[in-house]
Amino acid sequence: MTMDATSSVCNLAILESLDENLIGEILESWNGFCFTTESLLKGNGDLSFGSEFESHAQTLCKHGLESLVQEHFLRSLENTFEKNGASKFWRHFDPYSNVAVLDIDKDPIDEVEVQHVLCKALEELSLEKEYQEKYLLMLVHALQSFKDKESEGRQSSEAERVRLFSKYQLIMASVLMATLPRHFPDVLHWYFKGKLEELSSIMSRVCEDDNESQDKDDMDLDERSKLPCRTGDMDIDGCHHQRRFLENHKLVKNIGMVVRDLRSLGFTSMAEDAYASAIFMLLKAKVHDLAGDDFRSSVLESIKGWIQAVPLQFLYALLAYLGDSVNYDSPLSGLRSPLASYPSSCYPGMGVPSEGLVRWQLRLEYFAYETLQDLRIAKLFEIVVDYPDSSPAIEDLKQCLEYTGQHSKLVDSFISALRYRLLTAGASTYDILHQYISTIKALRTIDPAGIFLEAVGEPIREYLKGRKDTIKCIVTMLTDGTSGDPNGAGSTGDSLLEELNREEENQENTDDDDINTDDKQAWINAQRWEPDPAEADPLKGSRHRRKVDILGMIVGIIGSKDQLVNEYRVMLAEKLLNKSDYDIDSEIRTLELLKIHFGESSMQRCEIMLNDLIDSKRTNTNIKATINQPSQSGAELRDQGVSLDILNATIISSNFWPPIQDEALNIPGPMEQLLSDYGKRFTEIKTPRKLLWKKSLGTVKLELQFEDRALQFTVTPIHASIIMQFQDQPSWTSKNLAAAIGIPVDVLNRRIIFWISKGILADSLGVDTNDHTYTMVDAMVDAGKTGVNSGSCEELLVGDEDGERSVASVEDQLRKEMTVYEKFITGMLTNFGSTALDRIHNTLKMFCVADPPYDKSLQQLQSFLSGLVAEEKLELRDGMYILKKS
Amino acid sequence: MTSSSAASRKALSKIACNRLQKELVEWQVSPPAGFKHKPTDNLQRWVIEVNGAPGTLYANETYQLQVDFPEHYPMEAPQVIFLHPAPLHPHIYSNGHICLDILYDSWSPAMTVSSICISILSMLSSSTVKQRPEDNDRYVKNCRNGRSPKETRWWFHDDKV
Amino acid sequence: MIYYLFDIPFSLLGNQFSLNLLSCQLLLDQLTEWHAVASWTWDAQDETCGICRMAFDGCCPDCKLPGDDCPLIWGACNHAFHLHCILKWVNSQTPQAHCPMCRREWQFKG
Repeated sequence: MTMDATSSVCNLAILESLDENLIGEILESWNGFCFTTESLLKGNGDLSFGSEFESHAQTLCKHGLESLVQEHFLRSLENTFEKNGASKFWRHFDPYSNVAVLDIDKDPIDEVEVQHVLCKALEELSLEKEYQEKYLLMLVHALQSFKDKESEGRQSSEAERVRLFSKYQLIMASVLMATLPRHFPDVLHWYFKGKLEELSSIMSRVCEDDNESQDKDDMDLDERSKLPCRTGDMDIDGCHHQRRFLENHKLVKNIGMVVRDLRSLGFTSMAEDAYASAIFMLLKAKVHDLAGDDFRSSVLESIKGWIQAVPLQFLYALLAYLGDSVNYDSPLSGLRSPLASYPSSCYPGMGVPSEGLVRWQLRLEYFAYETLQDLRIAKLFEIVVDYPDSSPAIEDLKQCLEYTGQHSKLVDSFISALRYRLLTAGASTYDILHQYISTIKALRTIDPAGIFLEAVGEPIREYLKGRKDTIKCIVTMLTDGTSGDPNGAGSTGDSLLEELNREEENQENTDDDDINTDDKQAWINAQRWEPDPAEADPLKGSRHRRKVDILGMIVGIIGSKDQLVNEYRVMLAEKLLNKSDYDIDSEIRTLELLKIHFGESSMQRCEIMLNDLIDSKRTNTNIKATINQPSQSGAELRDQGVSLDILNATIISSNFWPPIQDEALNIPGPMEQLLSDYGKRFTEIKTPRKLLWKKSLGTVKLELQFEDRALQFTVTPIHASIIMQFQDQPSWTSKNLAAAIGIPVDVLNRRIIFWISKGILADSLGVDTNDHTYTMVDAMVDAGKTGVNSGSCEELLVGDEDGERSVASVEDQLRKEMTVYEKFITGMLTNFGSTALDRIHNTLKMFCVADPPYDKSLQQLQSFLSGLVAEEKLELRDGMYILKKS
Repeated sequence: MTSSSAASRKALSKIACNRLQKELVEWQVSPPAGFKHKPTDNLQRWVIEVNGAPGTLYANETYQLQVDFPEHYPMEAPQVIFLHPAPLHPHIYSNGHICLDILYDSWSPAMTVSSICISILSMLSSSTVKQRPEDNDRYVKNCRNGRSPKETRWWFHDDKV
Repeated sequence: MIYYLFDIPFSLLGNQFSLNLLSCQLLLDQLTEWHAVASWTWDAQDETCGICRMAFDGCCPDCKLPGDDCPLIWGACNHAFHLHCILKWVNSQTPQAHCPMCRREWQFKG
């Protein structure tokens, strides 16, 4: 602009010295110049006005109007370009102006057509530009020859040409930009998308062909071994082929031409944006395609491989075609990404990659990591369900997160999936626990420090705390592999505790060279033992910590290990009391494992319980071997066919067992006699100890003989006593039968259902509607038919279905156990006056540490106290408990 | 005030601990009449408030007993003294030491804090005169270095009081 | 008819079908096993040891297992203690120990 201004000042100075002739000449030349310019530009390559144009221009220059000439010419070019070039160019894309806002899925773009239109339009526009440049060159020549005559410096002429051309370039680009329709970037995107997809499918074909040809072609081996690339990478050679293939491929040439045309029209960044977005879109589709819903294989490597094989190869070829692969995008070369040295940036067969290509690779990989990560996070719930089969997907996710650092995304998404899908009334406690454990196992891979695991586990733990059967399920899962999951899903017959332990042992075994097969070997190993070297594998330590985590996080649900141990004790008691043999191998194994994790002292009572079983077995053998059958009743018993052989006993140290629900029961007389003899012998052997029989407990195996078959049952003593009453009397009213057995009528009515359901007894209402009459089904003696034992003896176990338990449930037990403290609490309140909940809790904790130790939680105490308040023994005022004044 | 032997005593053995916890629970459930255990978190030293029995010389008076348990309680007797001021009694010295056989030679491991308290209350209740033992000054002077009453060789004045 | 019925698995038979028992005498010899449960207890007058105040049926504070491993012992005066408890007392008393309960000279019951 300044230049124009100064030249116009000059012109004014010249004007004053002008005479009329000169003015006439100038005007004539100006008119001529304007006319020829117009004709030239209209002429579509017609250069017949060339010489006239040149002379006019020179004349004008002679009069110092050079800048006016340039100005006018460029303005005319601009107008013409706008009219003939730009508007015509954009008109090609008019059919797509509405498509951009339409739903592309519904109305797919004909990509081939787009490609065709774009190429044609670009060709046309380039042609137009070519013409204009030719005219511009004519002007340059005219000015040049004028300057030559004036014998000014030749040097500046080249600079002048560059200046004019770049000015033209600028004018043209701004015209295009100013008239750019909004949908043009979309058109470009579609173009590149279509081309890249075409390319991708060609590449995968090339890959396949390559692999096939490699398999067959032995000659290739030599060539391959010469390549200075990583060995063991099967893709190297393929990539090499691809590169050469691509460089020559017409498709790349075609794309390259379009890019070059676009660049020359000033659409450099728009073109790059368009092929970048197309590449990312393709990459995203590829990631989705490769990843899918299969979590059993790792896809990260193949995604990376694909990035190398398709987009990077394409970019390499494209940049090479455009001639700027080496120093592409140089203005930013100072901002080298710190990740650029990432070891995976390897460009087989490409030599040293350009800065631009490295940056492309980083962008693409980051995008791929992020896409895969989002995909996996969205499906994390399913992945955890499938764990450990899904561990490859977890491993992928771990790598992605390490790269992107977006762990919080995982936490938020997974928690909401848990809330929506797992923590609902419909999910069984077992399912929730399984998922919890799978979550721990799966996430500790991603998050060895357990930070995110803590956040993710929190809602599960909170939810489980609200479920009544949580502790029970946890204990079952921990200690019982066979029935841990009632649905049987994933049940390997191995308890969780076994699994945790095995994990630990495996860890230890890998440290040892040999397997400890016997004590001798263990001793040798022990002598060889050396402390871990200081630089020991850090993984080992962390894995060791992880194992503790699982159990710790499970115990964390319950709140204290004491509650868990207590629940286990109740379950163990139940199990032991229902045993008809003394086989406790698996219980001993479990106890040993529990001792490792919870400490010996916590398991003391359980140990005594198991020890009781061992002692019982020994004592039982001893008693039966040494008993003198009392002669008077011996004969009688033998007459009745009952011998001591059938009696076995479990003798417990009741102080160490959970409270046992023993009901009164009259068992058949001969059995009573046997028990008494057994007890006498026990006292003789163990004097001065004696036995207190818990007659309703234990198991009885009996056989009922029918016409042609015998049926075997394993039942409780109450069931046995009931059915045996029918040997003397085939029909009983419930009142009489209950009295004979010594149990309440309602208990009898409940228990006898077992025999009715087996079709052995029939139930009919008596005269009194409250009194049932039970009758042996068709008790008629049919002596004429001799039953043939079919031999198919069914062992029918009385299930737990009627909810009869020999051991008090933890809730009952809690109530009972807390009653011990009731007096203590009232004493405390007498002494202290009004007392807050936690003070009571702490005082109990402080003073009741032995037999029975106070091991209840604050919540348990609170519920017990509110029971006392309900019974009007206590009052709760302002959060303080006080004794109710009666 | 209290003896230096209390400061140097050893921590309670497991048996002693167990036993004292049980005693404390029993005490809370049924404290001996006229006594109140002042709650502390120290199992090894109990401070117990004694109320003189109605109708006796000590009615409406309140004293404090301090009971220190040895490592091997109950195989050894606890050290029981009155905190200042000690009741005026022919068998109670002004430094709080109590002349009572069950605290020394006649100790039995079957005895408890509760039973000791009851003995001490009955000793107070049966007193007919409020006065110090005859040898009070001499004894107290001898004990000035903080000697424990358990180190005293007692001869017991009479069985009536 | 009956023979036909018996080919049906037993569990399918409801009580509307008649099962003819061979004999109405359900005999005790049809009992194959009776596994009973009992708890043992020391035949002592007291429930707890006067020395450690722990239950006799439990064990003294030094023991882990009750019963054979932590027996009771009676004195001539018929007072019972955990063996380990009374031994501690007797050994701490010289020359003569007394029964903690009745103060009679302690003699182990023969």
